[in-house]
Amino acid sequence: MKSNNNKAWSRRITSGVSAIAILLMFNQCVQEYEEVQEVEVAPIQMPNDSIHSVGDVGSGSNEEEADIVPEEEKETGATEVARTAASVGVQNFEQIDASFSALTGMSRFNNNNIRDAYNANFLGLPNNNSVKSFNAANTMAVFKLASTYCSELSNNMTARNNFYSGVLDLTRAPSQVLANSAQKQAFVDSMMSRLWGSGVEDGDPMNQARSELLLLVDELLADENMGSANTTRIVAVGICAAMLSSPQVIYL
Amino acid sequence: MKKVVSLCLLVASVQAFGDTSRKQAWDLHKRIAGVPPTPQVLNQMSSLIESKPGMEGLESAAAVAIENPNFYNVTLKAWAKTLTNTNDSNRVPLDDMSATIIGAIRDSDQPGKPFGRILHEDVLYTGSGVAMYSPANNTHYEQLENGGANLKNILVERKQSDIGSVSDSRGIAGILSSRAWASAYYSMGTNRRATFYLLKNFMCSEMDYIMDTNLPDIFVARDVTRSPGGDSSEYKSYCVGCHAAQDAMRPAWAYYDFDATTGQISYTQGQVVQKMNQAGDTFPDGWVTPDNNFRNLWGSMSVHMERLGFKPPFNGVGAADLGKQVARSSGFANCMTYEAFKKVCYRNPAASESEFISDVSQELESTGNMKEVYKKVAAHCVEDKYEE
Repeated sequence: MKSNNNKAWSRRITSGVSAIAILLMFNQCVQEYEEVQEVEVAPIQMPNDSIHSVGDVGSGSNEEEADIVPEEEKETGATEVARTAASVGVQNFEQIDASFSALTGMSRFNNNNIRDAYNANFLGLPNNNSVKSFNAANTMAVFKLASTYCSELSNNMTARNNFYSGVLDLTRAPSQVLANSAQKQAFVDSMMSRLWGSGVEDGDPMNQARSELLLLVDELLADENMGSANTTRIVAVGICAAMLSSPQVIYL
Repeated sequence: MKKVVSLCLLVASVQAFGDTSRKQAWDLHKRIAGVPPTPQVLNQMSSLIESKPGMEGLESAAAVAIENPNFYNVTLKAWAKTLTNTNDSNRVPLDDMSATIIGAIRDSDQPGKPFGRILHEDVLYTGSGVAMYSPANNTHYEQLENGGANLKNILVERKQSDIGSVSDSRGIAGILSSRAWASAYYSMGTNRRATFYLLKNFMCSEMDYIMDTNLPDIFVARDVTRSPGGDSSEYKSYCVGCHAAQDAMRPAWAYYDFDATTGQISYTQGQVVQKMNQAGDTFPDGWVTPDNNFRNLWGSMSVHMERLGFKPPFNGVGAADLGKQVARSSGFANCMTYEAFKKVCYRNPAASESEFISDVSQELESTGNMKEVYKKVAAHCVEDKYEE
C-alpha cells in the first residue's frame, strides 16, 4: 500500500516536472529580436482637428505633430518585424486565475484551498502581459496553481461531474475507462476540446500533441493499480494540470 | 521528459492550422476578456466572424467578448489599478477610483455618459452586499474584490455629493476627488504630484517629455530655488521647463489635501492649503497661490500644445475645470486609445497603423465610448495577426 502511494506521488511529481518543462521549453521557443531597428512611429494625421492640423497634411513638412506613442515608450516602438513577434502575450496573475476558473468551473472565491494556493503563489505569477518577462518562477507558480485547481476539481463532486461529464468517469477504475487506446484517445480528445477549445487548433502538430498526451496518460498509468478509481483521478489531475498550465491556455 | 518537451514544441508550433474563424474568436476573446471563451460563445463569435468578412465580423465578435464579466473584473481592473498609485502597480486593492473607471467604461456607450466625465463630474461607483461605502477607508471596495464580485453587474453610479465623499460639494471633481486619488497624489508633498500623474495617466505625457523652457515662469512658486547648487543657469535651462507650466496648473489643487489621520480627502473651500505656499524663504519673490484659479500654459503657449491637444479656455477654477480640460483634449483621447491598444495588442502601434489609431481616437473624442475603442483595437489586432 505504502509502495503504491509512493509510486502515485512519484507519478504526480513526474507529471508536475513534465508540465513545468512544457512551459520552460515553450518559453525558450519564443523568438527574440535582439537588435530590432527602432523606427519612429509616424505622426497621426488629424485633418478634422484644427489643433492638430499643422501645415499641409501629407506635404512632408517636418513640423511636430501629434504622436500617440508616449515619448518615453518610443524605444519599444514596433517595427513591422517586432509587430508580429510581439503579438503574443502571456496572461497576468488575474487572467491566469480567471482562466483556470472559467475552464474548470472552480473558483478561489468559494474554495479555500484554491484561494490559499493563489495567495501563496501570488507573487510568482506573471505581473503583466509581456512574454519577454515570463520566467522560471512564473512557470512554477502557474503549475502549482493549475495543480490545485485540477486537484480541487477532482475532489468536488458537482464540479467534477460538470467538467468530466462525457470526458471520463472518475468513479471507475482505469481497467474500465482507460483500458484501451480508444478510451484513452477519447479522454485526451475530450480534454483538448474542453481546455484548449474545440476546433481552435488542429492539423498535424495538434495530432502529434495528442499522441504525446496519450503517452503521458500511459506514463501516469504505468505501475499503478488499474483496479482503483483513485488511479483514474491521478491521471485526470495530471493531464488536467499539464494542459491547464500549457501555453495554449496561458498565452495570449 | 523527452515526450513532454516534444509536446511543448508541438503545441507551440500549432499556429498555422485549425479553423481560422475559431482561432480568431478564441484569440479575440482572450485579448478582451483575458480568459478563453465558453464553447457556446466560441461558436457564436466564430459564426459572426464567418458571416461578415474583415473588421465588421471581428468587431461584432468583439462586442460579444466585451459582455464577458472578466472584461471588467480582469482586463479593465488590471489597467485601472495602475492609475491609482505612484508605482503603476496592478497588485493593489480595488478602490473607489479604479471602480469608477471600470463603471464609467461600462456605461460609456450610454447617452450623456462619455468616459471623460470621470475627471470632472459628480460621480463615483460603488457596489453592494458588502460593508457600506465610507470616505474614510477602502473596506467597501476590498470586500467587493475579495468576494469575487461581478463588477459588470454590481457597480452602481452614484453622486459624490450624495454619499459624502468630499466634505464640500464644490470640491467634487470625478476621480480627482476620490479617496484613492487623494491618498496617492494629495498626501503630503506640494500637490505637484497630482498634476504630474494627471498628465501621465490620462494624457500619456510624462513631465520630462513635455517640459518647455521657453514658457514664462511667473507662476513658479516660492519653494523652487532659482539657483540650484548656486547655479541659476540650471534653473533657467532645466527646472523651469517643468515648473513653469506645472506650477501654473497647480492652483487647481489649492484646497485639496489628504488627511492620513482620518483617512479622508480634505477640501477647504477658499483656504489654500499650507503646503501650496510653503518654504517661502527659498525664493521669496516666487508666486504665491492665492486661490484655486489656474492657467494651462501647456494648452496655450507650449511647444507641446499640438501633442497635448488642449482646447480653450486655457484657464479655470479648481480640479473639476482642469479635469474637464483634460477630458476634452485630443491628448486624452489619444492616450486612452493607446492604453487600450497596448492592453489588448500587447505592443505599441506601428507606423502603418497610425491612420487606424487616429480614426479610433477621433471617434472616442467625439463619442466618449471606451467600449467601442476596446472593440475596435482588439478586432484590428486580431485581423492584423491573421492577415497573412
